[in-house]
Amino acid sequence: MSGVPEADATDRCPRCGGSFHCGIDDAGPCACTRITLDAATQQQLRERYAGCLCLRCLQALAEGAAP
Amino acid sequence: MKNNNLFAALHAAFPTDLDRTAIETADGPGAPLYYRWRDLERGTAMLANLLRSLDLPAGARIAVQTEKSVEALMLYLAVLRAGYVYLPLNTAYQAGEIEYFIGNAEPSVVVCSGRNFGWVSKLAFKGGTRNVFTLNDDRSGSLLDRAALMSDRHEVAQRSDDDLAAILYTSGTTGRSKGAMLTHANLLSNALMLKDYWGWRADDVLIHALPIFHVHGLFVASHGALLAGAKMIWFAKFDARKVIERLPEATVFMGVPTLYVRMLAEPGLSRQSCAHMRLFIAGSAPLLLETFNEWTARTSHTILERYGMSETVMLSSNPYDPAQGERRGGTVGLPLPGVGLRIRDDKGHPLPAGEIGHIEVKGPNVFKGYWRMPEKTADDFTTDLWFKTGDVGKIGSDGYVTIVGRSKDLIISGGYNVYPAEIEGYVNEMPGVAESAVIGVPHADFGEAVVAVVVRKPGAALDGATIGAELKTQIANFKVPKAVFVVDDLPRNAMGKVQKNLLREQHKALFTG
Repeated sequence: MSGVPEADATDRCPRCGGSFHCGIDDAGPCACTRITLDAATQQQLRERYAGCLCLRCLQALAEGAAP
Repeated sequence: MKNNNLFAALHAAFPTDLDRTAIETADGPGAPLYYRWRDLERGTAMLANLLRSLDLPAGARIAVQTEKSVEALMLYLAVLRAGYVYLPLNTAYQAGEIEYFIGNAEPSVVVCSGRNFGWVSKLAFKGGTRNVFTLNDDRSGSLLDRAALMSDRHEVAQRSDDDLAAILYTSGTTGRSKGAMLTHANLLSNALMLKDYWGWRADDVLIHALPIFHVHGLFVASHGALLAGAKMIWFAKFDARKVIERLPEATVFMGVPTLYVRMLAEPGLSRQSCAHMRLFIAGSAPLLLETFNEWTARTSHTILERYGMSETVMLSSNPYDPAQGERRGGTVGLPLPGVGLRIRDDKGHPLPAGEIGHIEVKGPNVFKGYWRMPEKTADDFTTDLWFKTGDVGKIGSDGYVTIVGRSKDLIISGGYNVYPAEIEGYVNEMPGVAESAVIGVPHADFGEAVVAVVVRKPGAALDGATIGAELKTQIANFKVPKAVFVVDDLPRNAMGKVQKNLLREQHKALFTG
């Protein structure tokens, strides 16, 4: 889980399988904009996953984990 | 042997008295013109004989981009009658789009307006089409000149359920349009079911004010009246005041929500003007509850909202018969008889009543697949052959279907679907453009308006007006952004995805003040 209440967890992370809420369609900025990934990692993620990843996975990737 | 040609069924429904008026024109050159059922019978026979004389291959596509006219409707019917495949094209399409459609569909015949003959014929011949005719809205053009030399007797071509009747191009979520292949059985099964469900009668009079290049005007409206042997009052162009003036003679009206909004703005719309009406039907875009309620208050009629798409014709409808239930604003009613409609989660698992998920459908009305796109077709069907509509919704415990979302990014402007990916493709090819994001924002008249946010390449001089003007030469006007903003970058999330939600929020008051 990525720290959001279950009721708000509308999406499933394609990397870890955990539920989370993706803010891509919310009125405000996504919570993940606080995390910075380099362009190469972003490209790898887009090739590997159709949807967005949860905050916990994104944080792990920012710290050097493999996609 | 039974002939399953759709035209055979429509023809069989013509009234015994062929001298009755089938269609009365309400506008356009020479109006009012009165077309008898006999004129439809003879006209379609002559046009079908013309097509037959061209020695076309089986399954030949006949692409048509003409202004709305009764002769254009006859041409559609003649293509069915002759056993070929009708390919209607929006009159707003420009050269870039027409070139793609001709290249993709490889039509044997192209019919266009005389004023467009120069550029359309050039594209058609370049694409390998051997026959290009003209058809104008004043009953002139080479198509009718040639058809006039043909016999007015024609035996309807034998067709089976699975033979193609029409290809309708729909905008794609990922770029260029896809051709939805509809069979004779797809169209006929839906038309017969709607005839019963909406209670069509021989003494109905339909005000036909929709374009005839898409499902709503060509199939739902025309088939309904023809199968009932009912008269049509034919508007080439929608004019709210003129339509309201004709309501006292009519019983059925179909429109996209924008048409209802415009009629509500007319002081002539009243209970009295609608007293003779039996049914108002809305579709092609979400009908706002506000419009639904205001219409009831002004006219004492409850609009019947239904749900469908090019790939499936009609899928659900609020009831016509009160015994089957109420017409409920904000919903698209109940799945139509014979149509399976289910809600699935992201993994394809069933969801219980009231839960929101992906809408999937199955039935005799569901299309055969996308023209020459087997992979795309496979992607859009589940393993148990349900079609994934791309819409998101729920089914209540009472069976009513509510659409709560739709294919990501889809913009519906004035009832027309606009997929941002297609517009972005054109914008991104322009010199000086690094990338772009196309969004829909609220618009009082159109429901939504198309807006483009464009990122310039370093050092490039770009302005929104030039981009908009360039797009007008390439794509249909309803797709051209009503506003273009040139910026230095787009908002992105950690994955690098553009956050269109922020752009929508930023520009949401652009057209609503």
